Amino acid sequence: MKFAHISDLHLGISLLNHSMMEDQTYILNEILTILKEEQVEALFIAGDVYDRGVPSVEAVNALNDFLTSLAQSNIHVYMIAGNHDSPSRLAFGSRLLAQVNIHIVGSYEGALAHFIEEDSYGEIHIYGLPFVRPAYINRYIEKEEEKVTSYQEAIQKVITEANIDWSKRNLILAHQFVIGAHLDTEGSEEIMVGGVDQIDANLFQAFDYTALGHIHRPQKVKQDNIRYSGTPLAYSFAEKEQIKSIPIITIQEKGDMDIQYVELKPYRKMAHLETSFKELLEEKMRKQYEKDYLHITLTDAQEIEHAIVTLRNYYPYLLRLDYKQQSQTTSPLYNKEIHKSKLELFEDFFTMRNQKQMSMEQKAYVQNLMDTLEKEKNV
Amino acid sequence: MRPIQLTMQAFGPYKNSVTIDFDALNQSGMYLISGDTGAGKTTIFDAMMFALYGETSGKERQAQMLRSQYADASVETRISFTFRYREKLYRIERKPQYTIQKQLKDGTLKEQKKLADAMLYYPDGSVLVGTKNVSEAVVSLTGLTYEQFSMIAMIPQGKFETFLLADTKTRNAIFRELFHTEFYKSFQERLKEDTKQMSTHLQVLRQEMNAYVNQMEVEEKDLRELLSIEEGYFASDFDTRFKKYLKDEKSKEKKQKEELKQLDKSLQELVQTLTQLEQNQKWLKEKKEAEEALKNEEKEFEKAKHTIAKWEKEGRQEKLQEARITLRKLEEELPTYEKLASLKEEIETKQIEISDLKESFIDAQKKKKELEKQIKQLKKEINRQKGMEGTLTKLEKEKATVRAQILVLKDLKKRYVDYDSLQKNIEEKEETFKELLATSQKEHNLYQDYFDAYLMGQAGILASSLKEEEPCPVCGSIHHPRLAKVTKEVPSEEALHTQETKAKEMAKKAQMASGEVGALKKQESTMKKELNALLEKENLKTKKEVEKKYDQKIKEEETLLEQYAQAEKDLAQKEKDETSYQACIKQEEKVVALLHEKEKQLLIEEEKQNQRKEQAKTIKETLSYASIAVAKKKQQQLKEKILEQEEESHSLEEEIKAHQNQIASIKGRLSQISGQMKEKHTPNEIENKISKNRTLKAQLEEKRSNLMEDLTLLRAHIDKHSELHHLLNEKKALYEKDMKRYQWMNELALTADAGIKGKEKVTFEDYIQMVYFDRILEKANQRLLVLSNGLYQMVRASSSNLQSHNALEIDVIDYSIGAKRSVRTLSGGELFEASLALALGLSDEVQSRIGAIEVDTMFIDEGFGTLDKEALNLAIQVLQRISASGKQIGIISHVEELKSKIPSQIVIKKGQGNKGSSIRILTEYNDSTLQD
Repeated sequence: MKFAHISDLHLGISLLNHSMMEDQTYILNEILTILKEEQVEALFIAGDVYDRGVPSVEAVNALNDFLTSLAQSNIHVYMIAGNHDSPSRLAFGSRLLAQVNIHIVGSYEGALAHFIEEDSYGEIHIYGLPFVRPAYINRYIEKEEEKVTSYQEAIQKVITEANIDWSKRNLILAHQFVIGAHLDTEGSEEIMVGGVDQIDANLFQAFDYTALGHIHRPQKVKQDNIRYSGTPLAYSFAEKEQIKSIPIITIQEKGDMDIQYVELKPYRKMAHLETSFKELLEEKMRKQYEKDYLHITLTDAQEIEHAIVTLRNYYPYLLRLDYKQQSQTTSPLYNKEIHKSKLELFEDFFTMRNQKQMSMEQKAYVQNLMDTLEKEKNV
Repeated sequence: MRPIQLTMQAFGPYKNSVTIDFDALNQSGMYLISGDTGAGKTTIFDAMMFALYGETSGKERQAQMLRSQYADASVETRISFTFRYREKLYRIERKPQYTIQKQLKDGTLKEQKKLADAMLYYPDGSVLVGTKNVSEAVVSLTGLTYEQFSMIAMIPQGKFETFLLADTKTRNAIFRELFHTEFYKSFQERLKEDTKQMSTHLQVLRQEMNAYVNQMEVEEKDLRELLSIEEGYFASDFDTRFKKYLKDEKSKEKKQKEELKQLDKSLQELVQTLTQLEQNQKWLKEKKEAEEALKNEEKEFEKAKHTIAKWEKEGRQEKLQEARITLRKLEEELPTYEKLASLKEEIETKQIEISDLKESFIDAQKKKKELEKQIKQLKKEINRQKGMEGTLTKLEKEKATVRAQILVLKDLKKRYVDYDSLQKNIEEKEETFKELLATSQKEHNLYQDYFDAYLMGQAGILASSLKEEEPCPVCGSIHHPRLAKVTKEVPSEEALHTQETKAKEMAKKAQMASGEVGALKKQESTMKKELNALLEKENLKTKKEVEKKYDQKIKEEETLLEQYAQAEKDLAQKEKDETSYQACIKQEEKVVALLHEKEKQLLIEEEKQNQRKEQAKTIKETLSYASIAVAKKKQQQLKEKILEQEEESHSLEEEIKAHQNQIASIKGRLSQISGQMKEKHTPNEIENKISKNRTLKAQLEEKRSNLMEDLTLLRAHIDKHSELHHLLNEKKALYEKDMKRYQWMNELALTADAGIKGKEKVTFEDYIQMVYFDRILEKANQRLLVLSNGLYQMVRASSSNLQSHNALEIDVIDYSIGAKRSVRTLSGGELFEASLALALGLSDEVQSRIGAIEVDTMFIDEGFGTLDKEALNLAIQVLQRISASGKQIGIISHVEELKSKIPSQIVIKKGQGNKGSSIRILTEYNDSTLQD
């Protein structure tokens, strides 16, 4: 069977208050084209389909169109809910949609969702584990002592209880944070504090392929077949360098698996420019970047009034503007060391005000007075 | 300060007790408090603040309002709050003051006041009690007051921009408290003060110097001029001039001293001469006096001698000797007087004794007479009572007889009774018998009938089976002419037997009864016989007679008993009388004996008394004086007289001797004086000489004293001016030194207190605060950058106004327009972001600067509603990063998004009607019914 793996569509997301709906519809179409070209039989969508629990109208429409096109092209769809999705809402009509081979796993209902595909080599078992917190697992456990107390335990339990026949070919979709995954600083993920939500990749190692979602950078975790597909688009300036791609997996007999990557090119690139205001006004610059999403850092020493308004005339997709010399906000009075003695503080002050140093006698006197006051304070 | 557990009872919308275990939420560092409006979200913060400080957030909610209006009067409002501070657990229990309506037994409502109270439990187990105490303890423990805490750790609902928009003065005050910049303020003030003191000091010095100068009186013209100029002493040649002046004065002094010396010498010589003259004058006077004294003495001497001669003529001596002899005789007689006196006493005493004795004699006689009378009487009684016993015995016999008779009669009575009853019994029994007989007869008859019937029956039966020509079993006849008929009622053999038995029984019974009757009748006759016999014996015939006699006898017996009792009494009396009689006899004997004795005694005493009287008479005759008192008086007189005379003579002798001595000494002195006086001047001559010399002396002395005065003055003048000169120089030196010091102190003071002309008014304290503020802003800006997506940065406003204290105002740099604007121009959401950033910055700074304060908790009450989707995301991101570093952040919000982003939640549900709110805790691991 040949299937593709995408995740973290975040339909409806906006970047710096700019809706990326346009880019998203574009990329969905791209994906569709690729899938048809590659003659992919199934598509795994590993969660964070929407950006919010209650998505916008456009987002819903986009997904609607996407799924409809997929169904029309006879591509089976397996979709799980991520932490951004509202499981119940995402799984609306799932039982009906299953009839056209669109399988949506919304909430965890006590057991690992299980589907079976058939190819020339026999059965392929597909499992769908939507984003879970230990609490979701505990809902189905009666006895207090059997309740799980960590994410690791929770996932472990779910997989164990599924009684998987490891002799068969088993594929799983999941949306969790697996240890070893690399996060970008200032990336667009929403990361939990303290890493308590992290689970070990070992849990998945027996699966023939693990389609993960949640981390936005495409990467493998420990093994090639445990993989985050990453977002199809860059959703923050931190991701602008990343090459987004779709893994296309061909699985034949058990043990015989092959992964290819098809690059995804976004509608609009992202760029971070660090330059002066003047340079930005130049023709060359404009031509190059006027269509891109821009984060501009001005190198000018002084702030330029209404810079953003002016620049937006030339660069309509300028999303963020700041200045390199932000140390201007730091006043000349600012002392980095907080442990300057009181005398030293006064010396600084004195010098600042009188443009000269204090004499020895003055220093001695001030020190003495400060000591006296200290003593009086403590008495 | 990190909350661990909170229990609220009857507090706000919580009717009963709810407990929040923060530990369960502690895992993720951030938790959400969500619920409907008015469900009780802010109440949780209120509860914590209240527990700690006794005040509530927002201050609008007064303590009384904290009491839950849903709660029963019996449930008290209480908060129990456990928190961790520096790894140790503390617990506070606090109750607000409130009034409840208590229902009394009679149904009326009484208002009862519940007092506020608080208790703080320390980790070591000790307890602190008292609302104020606990609040103060919390302040000292955490290092933060209520206001400070809310500034740093809380962003209250609707008030978050308070700190952000506060004016400099307020911020000034806040910083002063938080960072204790009052130290710097007091430093400033102190500098100012010290400098001022120094200036005053300098002025004082100048005044002192002036004072010195004013004291100077200098004649030298130039110098005087110099001194009259203001601060002329600062002139350079002043010193030299002054020194010269002093030198001149000193030489003047020397000359005057010489003069004085000469004068003294002359004076000395004069004094010597004068002394000598005076001495001579004294001696002359003395001589004259002595000569007079001598004359007096000799006169006295003659007088004394004359008196002695007179005495001898009178024969004084012999008379004295006579008197002495008389005295001696008298003294020898004295004891005899005493003896007489004592004897007289004895006579008197004994006389009394004798009269007593006489009295008792008479008493005894009286007594004897009485006793005799008594005896006579008793004897009479005793005689009368003889024969008592006889009576008693007789009575006893009679008593017995009567009793015996009574018994007999009683017996008779009884027999009558028995007899009667027996008769009755017989009658009854006869009746019974009669009946029985009748019955027996009846039964027998019946039996007979039965038998007949039976027989007949048998016969009938038999007969019925008889056939003609067949022999009858009975008689064998073959003809049966009259067959017996079968009677209907043929009793069975059994019945017949039964009846037979019955009849027989009856007969037996009748017979028995008859027997009984017979026996009884026999008894009766026996009884009758006996009765009759007895009656005969007593001579009585009827029952009535018996009874009459019986009553009579009873009466007799009664009388006898009475008599007998009386007799017994009399007998007893008699015995008593016997005893008394005996006693009296004995007593009488005793009295008689006593009488005899007394008589004897009396006689003896009277004899003795007479003897004494005789003796007394004899003694009296031997005495010369009437009594001892008289004798003693005479003794005294004599003694006095003798003594007097002896003394007189003695003193006279003495006097004579004295005079003799005196005469001798005066004569001696006179000759001495003549020897001493060398020159033979007359008193007048000497007198003249003396006065002349004296006048001269006076003159010289005057001269001298004037000279002394001048000298003294000059010396003083010199000393004074030397001193003044010295002092002046000292002060000058000091002044110069201090002036330098003052100059640089002033510089410091002006700097510190913003007094530098031409520069912005920034004091040292301001400066310090600005430093802090910059640091805070720096920290805040880091957050704000993220929150606002790089759009805003806060900066301290620099002012152009030299007077105002604008040092702590905040401006915002808006990068989108590249310009600065006041913080007040921000929108609601932006304000929230800025406030949040600022609060975080402030908290950070407080922690790092004052490590003693541990503020690892933060509460944000609403405000997220003002943020759009993206801003919300950013805010959560920022907060998550902060909570990752150890701070526990509690968020109150009703924003839906947050519910899915923050798994640890306290969900508050408003109860319906009177129910009060309830709480559910959801965590990552346990959310039971969390639906999304």
